[in-house]
Amino acid sequence: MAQRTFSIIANTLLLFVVFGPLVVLLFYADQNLTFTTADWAALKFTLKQAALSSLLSVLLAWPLAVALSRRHFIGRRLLILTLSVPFILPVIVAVLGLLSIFGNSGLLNSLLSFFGFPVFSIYGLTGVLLAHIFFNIPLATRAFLLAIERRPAELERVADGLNLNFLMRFWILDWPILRLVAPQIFSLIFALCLTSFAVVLTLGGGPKATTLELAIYQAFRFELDFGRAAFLALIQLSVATLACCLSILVFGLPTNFNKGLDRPVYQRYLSIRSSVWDFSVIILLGLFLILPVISVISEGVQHFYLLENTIWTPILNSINLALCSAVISTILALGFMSKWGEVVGTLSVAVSPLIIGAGLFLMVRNYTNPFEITFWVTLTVNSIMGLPFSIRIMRPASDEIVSNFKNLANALSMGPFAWFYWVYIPRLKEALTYSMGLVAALSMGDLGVIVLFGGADFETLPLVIYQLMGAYRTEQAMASAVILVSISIGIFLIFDKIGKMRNARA
Amino acid sequence: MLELNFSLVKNYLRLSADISLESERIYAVVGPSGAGKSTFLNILSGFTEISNGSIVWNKREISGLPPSKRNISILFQDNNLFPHLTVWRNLALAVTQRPKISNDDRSQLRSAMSEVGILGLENRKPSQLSGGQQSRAALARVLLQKNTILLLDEPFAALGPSLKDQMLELIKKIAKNRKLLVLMVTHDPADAKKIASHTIVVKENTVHVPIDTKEALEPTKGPLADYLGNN
Repeated sequence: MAQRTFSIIANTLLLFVVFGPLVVLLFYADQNLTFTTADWAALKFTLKQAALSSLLSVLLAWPLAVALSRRHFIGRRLLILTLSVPFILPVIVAVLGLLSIFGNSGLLNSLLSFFGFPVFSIYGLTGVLLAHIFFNIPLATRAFLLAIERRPAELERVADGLNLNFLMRFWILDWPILRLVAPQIFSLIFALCLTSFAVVLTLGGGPKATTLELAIYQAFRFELDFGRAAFLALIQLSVATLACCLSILVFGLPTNFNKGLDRPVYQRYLSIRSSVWDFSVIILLGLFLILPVISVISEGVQHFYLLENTIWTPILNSINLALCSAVISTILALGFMSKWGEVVGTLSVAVSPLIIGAGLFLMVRNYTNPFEITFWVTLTVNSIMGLPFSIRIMRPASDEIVSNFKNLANALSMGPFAWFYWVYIPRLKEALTYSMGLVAALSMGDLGVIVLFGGADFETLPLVIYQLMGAYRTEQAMASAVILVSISIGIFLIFDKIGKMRNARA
Repeated sequence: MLELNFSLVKNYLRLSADISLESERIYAVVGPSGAGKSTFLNILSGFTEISNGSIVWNKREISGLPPSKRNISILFQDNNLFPHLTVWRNLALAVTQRPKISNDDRSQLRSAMSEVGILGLENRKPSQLSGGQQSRAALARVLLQKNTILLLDEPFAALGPSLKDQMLELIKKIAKNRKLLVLMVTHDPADAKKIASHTIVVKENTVHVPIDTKEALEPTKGPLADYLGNN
């Protein structure tokens, strides 16, 4: 009962924070809104890049997850952690890294021209896709890996015992997981790419590669046309809602894999051909994900001497913001541990963070100076943005706990408090801390709503970097980026460590 | 005395019973898969509510009561122990749900552990126990709940023959000492013969009146001849 009450409170809060700003923006809306050719082009490009990005991410992540799940090599654990890096990497930093590899004067083009091949341009659809895959492969891989590792080891032994061929093995072992997890990941990445902002801003743009999100930003920032921004946001919201509902209701069939008693993953004999395949996948995708990061870091470290003392305040602001939104988002997510909750939670991704921020701005500006509460607006938006991740990370584990242990808890007549203390939270701990680490890192590197409101009163580290880049102080930006990345990853690793710690309670 | 007179009609679940069971007796519950054995136990333990009728234990109506108020303990097929908690804490949860365990409770825990023969395994996690030890720990947990009716939903199905026999002996001994009414679902006629003087046949959505186990399991003319498949 207590859980139900909390769930209702969390849902109400979310709906208020997400739809409140939209209503306010509509209040500001122009009455004679029309759908221009440019809008059509933006809509088409938005859908196209989102569909291609999510499809490619899922297709590439699956072989990587399979390879990682069945190969136990030195550094595997480190590699899995490293694969988390691109996703939690601040967007601007990642874009810098990708440019240094795939850009006009990047590593790849230098190689191509050295061997006499034509140079290619990263700008446009190619760049947007590259960046989106770069960000989302790790997310998809981790989700697949979690699902594969959750599969009872006994199933693999049974398959080995039956001496199944490649296809049957896939059908019996892999397909149930793919069918369960892939649509969820696909729809999440799709929704993320629908509202992707910084990537399109830096690598897209122009009439051929403008998304709805970018159009919203331009309407808000340059044209100061709140009505138009709200109009575009509504279109984006409808598209995303439709996509999410379709994918969850049609594909999201629950399959219940009973977890054994925390046994390690079973390692089986594998052929040489599959070894070659697995390690090629690991090495190629590994390089794709790691090289851009190494490139930025090596540049940045060389320019540490350019950093100034004024950087401390933004650093502390960012850490404060990150930790607060991680806790809020994760606790809030506990109120969304149902199919309905997942739909609602995912929808919040579809609503552009800029729109939520802008709406909140307009809501409070009659009562207080919005620039004085930049922290609170950013905190609210970051928590909401983290919510879908928290929900998706925790829900499978949560469902499993309930289906495995609710009867036992009832037989022991556990009340809600005892259930939370002894069973739910300890069993959920790994997912819980993963959620917090991820949201904290994302929030740490977020450069969305802060661009609209941040000023001298309240600056975050990514905003400072953005301003440095705008002022062409690239070396200093790179050096600050190294600090930002270190803190983001540091926070993430600390949470991951806490989650992996053995339970102290006995 | 446990008097059952109920029927259940819910979606695809259908089950009815009109029987009475003696306290301090062990009954085997046997029948084809899908006939309603597990549903029967779920009804008794309160996880499934009956549509109409009554469940009366020693002149007290217990249908409608939550599982914890029914004086009934149940051992499931699996997930009888929380994997992340030690044996000690798993057992303690049957007595208290506070972090601190009183001295009285401690001695209770120890005596239950010695009764099932797992003293010394307090600090192990379930995954560090053998199958037999897991069953014993689960049984100790059930004993600590101090209920007089014990339901066993094939908890020993995964154990080897000699371990299973040991567990059956243990159940028999404990049932006698503690004056328990035991209902044990089983697929194995040999189990039923070893432990239960009477057998409840569940088939065709009906819980039948208990009869002598030998009679119930008579492979050619008994009520389960089809199921036991002697041809």
